[in-house]
Amino acid sequence: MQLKHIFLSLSVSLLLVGCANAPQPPLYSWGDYVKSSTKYGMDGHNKEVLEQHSAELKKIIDESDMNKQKVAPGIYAEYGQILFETGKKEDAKQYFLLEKKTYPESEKFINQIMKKLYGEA
Amino acid sequence: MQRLLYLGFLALTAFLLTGCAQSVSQVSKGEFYPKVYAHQPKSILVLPARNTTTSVDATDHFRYTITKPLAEQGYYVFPVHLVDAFFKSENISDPEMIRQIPVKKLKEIFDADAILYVDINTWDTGYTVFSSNVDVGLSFSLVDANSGEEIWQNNAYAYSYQGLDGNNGLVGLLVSAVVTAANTGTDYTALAYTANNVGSKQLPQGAYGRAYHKDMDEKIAILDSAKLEGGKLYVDEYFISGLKKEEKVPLTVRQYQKGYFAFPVNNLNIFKHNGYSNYYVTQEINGKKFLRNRFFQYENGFPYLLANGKKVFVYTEKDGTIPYSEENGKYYFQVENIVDLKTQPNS
Repeated sequence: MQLKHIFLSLSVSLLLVGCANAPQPPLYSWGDYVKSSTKYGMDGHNKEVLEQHSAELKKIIDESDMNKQKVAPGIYAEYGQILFETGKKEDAKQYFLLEKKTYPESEKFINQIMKKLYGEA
Repeated sequence: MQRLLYLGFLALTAFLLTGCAQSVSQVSKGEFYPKVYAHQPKSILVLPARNTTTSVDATDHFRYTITKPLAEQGYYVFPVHLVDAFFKSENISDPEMIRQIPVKKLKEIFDADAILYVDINTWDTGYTVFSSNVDVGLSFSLVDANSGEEIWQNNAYAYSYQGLDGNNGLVGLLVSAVVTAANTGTDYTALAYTANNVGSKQLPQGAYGRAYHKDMDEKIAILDSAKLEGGKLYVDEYFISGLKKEEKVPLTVRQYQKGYFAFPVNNLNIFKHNGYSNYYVTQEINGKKFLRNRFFQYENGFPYLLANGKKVFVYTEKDGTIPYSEENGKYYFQVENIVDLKTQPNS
């Protein structure tokens, strides 16, 4: 039984390795975004969760700047969203604008959001 | 032990080599996913995942964990929490309602190039005294936001194995039993991320990716699961009837090591070890329902298999089922259309 397991795990890992390409360095810095964002999505009403996610986003932005990397898609906008929710409306605006500037694909959507939040684009 | 491992390795290498020499179709990404290259979407809007299984609380994990893998493939991914907030402000919070919004309307609001629909269609859990596992199966469907046409389709499988580490022997068994009793939990976030990650990797890269457009010529080698002979497309019995068991057959090829692992489903040889619980999966895209066979690739909604270096399209009923015939214990499908692949094995 034990042997069979070893054989199976070997074959699975070999097949997986065989199929994968040589790993490329990631395009962006993500920190602990996956976990933090999921937690926020499931439990964003919890003040502690919100603050943790906010801190994580800020960390990602700082880290990207430090590494002279482009900030990953959506990070500025999401940080702006949290700033707005916590009453820092003018700071939030800067981050919505940064999202648009960094990723022109987001312009139409961000304009609509800003219209809703500020009454202007 | 070392020696045995070595022998196992040799046997396996031999198996792999012969396996490859026999029946591999090589296909370029450009030929495998032509619509993605034709439309070149830059931005993707991910809609809430749809869960057709009995698990209740895992659905949201799939939506929140796909941003990173898609962005790393070079796409602009609309910020999911801001998208949620937008829908909420429009008094739409039911995920099904969001998925029913016509693509044209979504295009108007978001100006997204493509919409991604994710379906969770397998969720199997297993427990023993010493371990627990969760197996998950996903279908992805990427729809062009201008035309509403599906430009990419893919399945992905992942599993979590928690508890006893198979390589630890008896001491490990005793230690693990104690550890396992304290913690049998599966981290759904990690599991969802693993599945999303392997699924997204199959998508040709977007405009921010290093291999944007260059990956068109990248070759994918896929073991043939069918054979084209005399105008008929033959498959083995397993393909038609699986393990011939009524009950659900959970995935059984696992590394008996703690952690989260994934493998793509389009290699039948891996999947063969596992059986499958649903031959067809239902996908609902842009308000339309599709019945899809797990083992087929789909192009323009039409199913095909790679065989002998060709794309072989088969006859389909209106409801999406693919009828087969049996002759002297051999199973085959009716061929509709054959497209030669430009990419030929270079061995």
